[in-house]
Amino acid sequence: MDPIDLRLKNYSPLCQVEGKPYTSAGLRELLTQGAAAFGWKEARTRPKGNGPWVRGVGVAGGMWGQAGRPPSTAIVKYFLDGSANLNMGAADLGTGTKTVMAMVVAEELGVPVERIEVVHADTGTTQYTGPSGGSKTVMTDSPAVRAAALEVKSKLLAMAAEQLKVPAESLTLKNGEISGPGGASKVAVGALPDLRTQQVVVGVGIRGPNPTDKSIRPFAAHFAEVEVNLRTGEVRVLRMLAAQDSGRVMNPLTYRSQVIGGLTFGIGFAMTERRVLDPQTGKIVNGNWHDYKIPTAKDVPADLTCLPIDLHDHECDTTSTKGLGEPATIPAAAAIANAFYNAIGIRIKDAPITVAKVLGLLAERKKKG
Amino acid sequence: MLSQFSYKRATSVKEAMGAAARPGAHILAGGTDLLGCLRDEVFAASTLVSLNGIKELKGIGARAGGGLRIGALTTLSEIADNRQVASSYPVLAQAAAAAASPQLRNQGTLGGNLCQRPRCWYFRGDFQCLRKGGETCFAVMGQNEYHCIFGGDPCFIVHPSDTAPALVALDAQVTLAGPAGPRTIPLASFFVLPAVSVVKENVLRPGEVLTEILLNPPRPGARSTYRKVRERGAFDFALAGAAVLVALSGGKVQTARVVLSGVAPVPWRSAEAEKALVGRSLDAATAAAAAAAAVGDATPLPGNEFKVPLVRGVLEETLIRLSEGG
Repeated sequence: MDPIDLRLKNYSPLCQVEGKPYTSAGLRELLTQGAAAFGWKEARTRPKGNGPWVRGVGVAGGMWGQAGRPPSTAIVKYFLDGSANLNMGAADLGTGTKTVMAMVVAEELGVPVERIEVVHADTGTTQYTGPSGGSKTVMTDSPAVRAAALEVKSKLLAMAAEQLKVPAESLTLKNGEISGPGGASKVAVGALPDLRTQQVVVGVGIRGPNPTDKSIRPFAAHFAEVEVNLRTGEVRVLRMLAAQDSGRVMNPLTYRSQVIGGLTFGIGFAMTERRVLDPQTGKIVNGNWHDYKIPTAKDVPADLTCLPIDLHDHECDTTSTKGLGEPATIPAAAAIANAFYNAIGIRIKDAPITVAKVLGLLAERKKKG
Repeated sequence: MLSQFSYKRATSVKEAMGAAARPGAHILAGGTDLLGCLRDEVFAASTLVSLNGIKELKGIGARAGGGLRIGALTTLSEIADNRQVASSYPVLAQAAAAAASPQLRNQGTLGGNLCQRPRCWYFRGDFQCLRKGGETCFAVMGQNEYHCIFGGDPCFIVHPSDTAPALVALDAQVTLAGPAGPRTIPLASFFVLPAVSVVKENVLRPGEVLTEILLNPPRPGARSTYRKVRERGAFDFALAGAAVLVALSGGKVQTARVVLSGVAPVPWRSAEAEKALVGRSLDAATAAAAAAAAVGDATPLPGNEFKVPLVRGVLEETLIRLSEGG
């Protein structure tokens, strides 16, 4: 049976961890769209090669167990000059958190993203939020940021409604200007008398609770092609594709960056990284950057594809987002190990897939005949 | 932590020899290995004697009567990129290019590559092992996946160099300048097995400086290549490798050099494999026979039995490649 068909046949609409339906689940789309983009059918039927290098392809699905959640409180300030300040507890570990959060403010207030100053992750000046970890920062903090921006917006629209003598609900805010229905009446935000007096409008946003009757899970399906040298036991990862369902894609560039990083971690997990203890003393013998082998540019193929399934999840939170960081690593090693099996017909069940293990497995098969 | 040491920048080989003869002195060339050893407290140094001010130790030049002289301070990058090395001694160019990473090859020297200390994780780690003057080789009962399958007892290191097996395959010589005058010896006899010394990897005496590597004119009809198997694509030492040179005449192998890396405490010349090649035509059957002969007397440890089929595989592949023209 084709591994994709096996996974589709065993798909469960209920979360088997919590016994609840999902707020959203893109696993089937990930498998089918990922297979099409990877060229799965063609790759499965292509000749594997006569050796010593033989090729194989593999797939694996993955799910992540963490969801973003309260508490998180953010403050947005809108200034008379049309710029804004976002104040939040969330740290940016290099994942793009600052960029994404500024974009949330920009979208709601119509302020160009470069005019938003982000103050964050400072116990002296920002509010408490959970730690930036567990692939849940965007889902934890972006709803609080959005709520703060919406409060600012409703205050500004209320000021304009009074000025223009129209209902606030009929007004829109963009590029420092508030317009009425059909653009009939307009007022520059900087010309609002109340704002001229107070100089700033402040909004406080609080992260609301998650639904209790549903399970919130990001999904992934990874595809890998490898080649194995039957003489030397060497294994090379030739290409990978990561199809990801993490809810709404907030920023395609930082999204892709996270996924390429996740695949790189996965390749390290599958191929080179391990902890080695000396059995006589219990000391770690590979606690350095030579013996603990993180992958180099030579080990990570250039052919890595990020395929986001932009599935907006309207039930999980107010920004339709789920986590991405770790889901981009989870199935990678399994996909590589499945590709290894497809290449040479031997299962490997422990990582990393070293030359020593591969030659051991090949010798065992030879002995059995 | 890097402990205190004094620093001496020598301006002549003579000055370097004098300074290096003092107890606790170590010679500094590229420093890519030495500084790591000091920082990790593998050993200590009272003085570092830098050779970097000595011009005559740098560069690649022609020898009178043919062949090349490579100064000990020539970087691995220079060797890998040198046209004459690549065309006349491909095994050496390939070995230099296979070492370490681009940054390390720009800094690391050929002399340093030959004199580097072993990478055994017990020697490099917090273990008072035989090679550090202790009483135990921890690899025997410990994690010995990366250790040797030839020539081990009583210490089971592998020699970490890629260029050393290539140079041995080329019958290279080295000049050692010492207080008693310079001596030029075959590189093959520069290295010593643990049975000879368990604390030294070579015959350098106190105050002796490796100054140059000498290559003979290329053999007529010679083909050579280096193949290295490692766990990651760069910045890694050989699990096993093969530096092979064959000189063909009338379709038969006239001369063969098979020198293995990553499997012995010295660059391991396999007389058995060479014997299986000489006088034969270079084809798949000869390659398989020579590869099998190379591992006939291997004595693996419990964790590195894989190196036996690995050496066979690497050697067979390398010989087949050479049979196709290299």
